[in-house]
Amino acid sequence: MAVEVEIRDVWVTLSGTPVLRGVSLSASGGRATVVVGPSGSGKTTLLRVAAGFLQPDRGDVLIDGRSATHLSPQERGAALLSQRPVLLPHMSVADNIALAARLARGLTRGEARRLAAELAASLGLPGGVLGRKPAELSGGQLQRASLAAVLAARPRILLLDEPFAHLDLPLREELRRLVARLSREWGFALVQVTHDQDEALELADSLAVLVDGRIADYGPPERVYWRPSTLEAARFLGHNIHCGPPLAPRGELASAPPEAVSVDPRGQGWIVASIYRQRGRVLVRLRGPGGEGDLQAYVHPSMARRIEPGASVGVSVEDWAVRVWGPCRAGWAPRASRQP
Amino acid sequence: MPARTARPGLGWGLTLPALAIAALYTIPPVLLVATTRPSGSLPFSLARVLSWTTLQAAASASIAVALGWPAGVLAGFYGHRLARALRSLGLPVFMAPSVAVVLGFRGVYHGLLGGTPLSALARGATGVIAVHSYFNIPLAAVLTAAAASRSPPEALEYFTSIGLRGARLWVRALLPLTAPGAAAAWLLAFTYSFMGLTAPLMVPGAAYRYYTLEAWIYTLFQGFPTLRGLAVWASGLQLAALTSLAAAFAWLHSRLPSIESSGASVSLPLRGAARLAASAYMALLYAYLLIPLAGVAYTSIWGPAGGHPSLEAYRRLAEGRAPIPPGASLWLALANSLAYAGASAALAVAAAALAAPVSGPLVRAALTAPLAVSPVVAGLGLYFTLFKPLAGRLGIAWASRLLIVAAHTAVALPLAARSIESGVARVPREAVEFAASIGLRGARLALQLARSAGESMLAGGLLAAAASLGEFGGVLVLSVPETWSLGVLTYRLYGAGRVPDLAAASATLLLALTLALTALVARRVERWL
Repeated sequence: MAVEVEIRDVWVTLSGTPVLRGVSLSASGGRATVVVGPSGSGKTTLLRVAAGFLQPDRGDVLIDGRSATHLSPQERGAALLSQRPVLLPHMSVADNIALAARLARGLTRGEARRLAAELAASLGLPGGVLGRKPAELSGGQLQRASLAAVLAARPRILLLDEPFAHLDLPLREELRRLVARLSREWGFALVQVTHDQDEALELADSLAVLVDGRIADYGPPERVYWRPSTLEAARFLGHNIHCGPPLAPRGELASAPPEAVSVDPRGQGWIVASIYRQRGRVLVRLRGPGGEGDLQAYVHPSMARRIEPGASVGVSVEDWAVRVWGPCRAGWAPRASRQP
Repeated sequence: MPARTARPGLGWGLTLPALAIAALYTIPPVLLVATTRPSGSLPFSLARVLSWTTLQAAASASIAVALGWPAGVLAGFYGHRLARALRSLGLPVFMAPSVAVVLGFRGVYHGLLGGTPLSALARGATGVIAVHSYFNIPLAAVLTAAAASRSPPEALEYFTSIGLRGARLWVRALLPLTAPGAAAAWLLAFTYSFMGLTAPLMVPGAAYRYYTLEAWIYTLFQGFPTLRGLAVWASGLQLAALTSLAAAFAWLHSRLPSIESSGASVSLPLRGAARLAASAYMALLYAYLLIPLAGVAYTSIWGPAGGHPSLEAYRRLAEGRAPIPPGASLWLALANSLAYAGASAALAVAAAALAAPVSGPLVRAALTAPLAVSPVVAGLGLYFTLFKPLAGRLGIAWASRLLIVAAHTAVALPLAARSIESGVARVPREAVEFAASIGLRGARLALQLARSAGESMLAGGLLAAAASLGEFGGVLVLSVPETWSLGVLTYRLYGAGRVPDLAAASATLLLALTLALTALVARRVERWL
């Protein structure tokens, strides 16, 4: 039966500072719950609570409907993988993987060695790597080997704390797709935290936005990204937050993702402040009429060739992507939150 | 700490004072050995002395590591409070003057507990081994705790979370992870024990039979004037042995796996019987470490055989009613000790402050070289090459004082340099590069860097002073009664007329001074590791 994990109203204070404030979310076997949030928002703490390394001050961790708050990580069947390898440095890769298999699953020495070889092969680790010590591996090999050691224990819940963040992009994409596939095939619940929104959107079956220790939004990734339910979530996701036109003709405070803003080189009224070229698209930063506020828009590279900083352009916004938050008020001064 | 290259704007010339001090200590014995022809025959079997010296060093190092390693594991992985405190409290033990410790062992195990099996700890071969291992227990604890702090917490957290615990946890993870620290501690403890002098000279029943090579070199020099050539020849053996050990240590250090740590630490739980056992072990260890220190004070007040408490020993010492030669006195020895400590600390800190910001691996190796020359051998080198010319110009007493200060400065230099380096290393390289780019160079830049490491300079100075107070072999060779230190006065009181209470009173004063200095720096030492 696929595992169900629920984190319910969890509060954590560390060194007198509230880190998690009433966080609730869930994950189930074969599916990925991804938590995004800025640095210091409590993402790692949340995973440590889920893993059982940290006890919450209040709230519960439920596994298959039963409270697991006071269970050890082993009893929960949880494994946490971060950017730091989980390999013991004095042992070879094979010994590390085999030790994990023997401890967690009670395999014999021979069975564990065979499993280590199989796992290494399925994760793309060359056979020669198995006999090496962790210090002799490259960054990518180290993370694959760590993943193998974690998977050798056959966790029911895999918690990933940006384990591939420092790897190069192709390898990062390969590994996160591999983990997602294994999650579906093996049926473990996957909870991953990241600050990379592209990664989150690609991987997530459910997406949570964690800001200042609170869940600012939680739901299907498409909905959360395009129609965030709170202003904090919109701000973190890099949406334009603006008072008045063109987002809100009646002068309210509103938000819209940069993808929903269109730039017309033949139009007038907005000044191109700066242009940032990114993979496959270009982010244009626009200054409003009379210098009131900024907007950001993604444009196709072919259009970017037709505009330059200082040029006057027209701007329109797709209405369906605009969220109106109410009257403009102090403290929500317009600012772009996604800086290249 | 990672190796650093020379900082911009700082010339290598700044290291010259420090290198000169190190050279003054290390080159004379080498020259002496190279130019002296031995004559006569040794009054002992060289093979036996070398075997015993090696055996007792190996036994002492093994016992020290066996007793200190678990404390390091408890401190590093379990955050055990008593074990963690040993990292600070161990420094006074490590730096305690050897004469005081030997008298403490004698007072407790030969006096109070005489006749019990424990009296073996202050008698003969076992006494020598017990004293030598005693000093190195905190070293083993500190170095293994340092290795633990460099271990990857994520790996331990993961494997303990899937069931690695108990004895299996220790065997599969904790001991292997700290083994590099234990190996380094064993080699250092072996080296220190190999050049042991005080215990063989002072432990009851050890005379001649359980002399180490260092003790024999001193005895040949002091007691057999016709065999001084042989003393120098034996010094060559000692130099070769210690240089080999230093090379072995450097090799081991280069081979140790560099374990990257995230800077986080793991705190494994300790519950039930394991917690009780750990606390009991730490309590026994503390008792073992503190009892000799208390024992020396006890002997000075209650006397070697117990009895009524009295300050008579102190009174006799203060009033000069002690069996010591004319020219020597408690007050003079105290003044000498303080003067040697103050002068050598000031010189060592000044030289180290100039050298620390510049020093690369080679300079650091040169500054550490004095540690590979035993005090008696270095003393002989200075005595035979510089004492006569200096005495002709300045008189015997001043020549003696100058050479003692030079020797103590060299002994203190590695400690001061290490301390100041650790402070200077915290100044970001970018800040130094910026300072150099706006014209701050040479000694001015070094001075600014040293000022930014003011706390480390103070710690280095206090440690240097403590090392000088505890230094024994060099003063023994280079001093005359007017220039005795408290340590030598203690030894002479103990040797001449066998008056343990007077010796213990003198040792207690010396111990109190050293403890006061090391207590001030104990907390800062953790930052070096």
